[in-house]
Amino acid sequence: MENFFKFIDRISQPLLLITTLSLAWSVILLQHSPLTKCLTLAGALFCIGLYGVLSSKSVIKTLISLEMLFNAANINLIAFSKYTDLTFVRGQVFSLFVMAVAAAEVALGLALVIAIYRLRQTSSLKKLNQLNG
Amino acid sequence: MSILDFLQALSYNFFLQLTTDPAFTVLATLILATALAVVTQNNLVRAGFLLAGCFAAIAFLFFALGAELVAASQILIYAVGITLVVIFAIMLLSGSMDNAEEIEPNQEIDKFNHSIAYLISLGLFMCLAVALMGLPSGAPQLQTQNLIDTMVTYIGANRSELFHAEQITNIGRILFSEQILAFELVSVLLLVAFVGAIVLSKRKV
Repeated sequence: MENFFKFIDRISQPLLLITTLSLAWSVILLQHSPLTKCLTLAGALFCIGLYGVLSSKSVIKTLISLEMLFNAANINLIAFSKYTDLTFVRGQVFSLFVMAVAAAEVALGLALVIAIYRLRQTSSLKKLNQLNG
Repeated sequence: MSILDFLQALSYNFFLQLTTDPAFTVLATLILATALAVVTQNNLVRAGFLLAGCFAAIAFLFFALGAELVAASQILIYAVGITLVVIFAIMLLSGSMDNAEEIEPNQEIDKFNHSIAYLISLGLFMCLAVALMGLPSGAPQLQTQNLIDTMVTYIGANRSELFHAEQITNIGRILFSEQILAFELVSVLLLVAFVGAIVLSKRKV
């Protein structure tokens, strides 16, 4: 019985990954037009990033997942500019702006992480609870 | 319908999609797989390198969607720049990072938190999927469609080729005429952010 639980514990994570991947693909395959396929892909990427933001314990992993959210938005912009915008470029211009803002955000965020680490010797989100009310 | 039938239909439709649109299929699988691996990976260095793979796959998806300039800047900014900065930060802070995950005393609460996060993101994805199902199939038609069609028949060029050749010129034109305020503000933002980052992370002397 104990072995069985160990086996379940070991197999659960890859099984969950494969299930999530096939779920996302089945929703993508249900769509008919290439635009909605791209939108579904971006939605799946957004939800994966959201899971990373909600479940991560270190600040750096939260920042990494935030970058994935930005990228999902970028995929949406590019898909719309490809399939609906006739002059073909406005979405691309906006995605360039998103990239510039994301670069500024990640530079400042990592500098803050390093400053906090110097101050508290930790980068775990659970231990940064001095502002708890 | 049993689960085997569902899997069979899924794989059949997947191969159909693979033959009709191979670039999108391969790149979407790569993006989703690397993103899932980044999110579930406990080793942060490995997660950083997987993140570079995810961003590179997204850049190739942009190439496939016909946005070359954005794809090149995606590779330059995301796949190399941001990922490199993240990996540097991970290596600067390593030591505390690896055992921060292990010493956690209450694994049960962590598992509870992870399942709650999984349910929230799954629910959001389901809402998005239902919302996208409600869309009419095919791209929304714009008012100027007829104008473009007459232009295409008049010039005799393929519609996508007509706009593709002018694409980067148009990006520069829009960036420096109607978005000029945003462009200048982005330059100020980048300057402020990098000065702030240097000040924050400088060692006290």
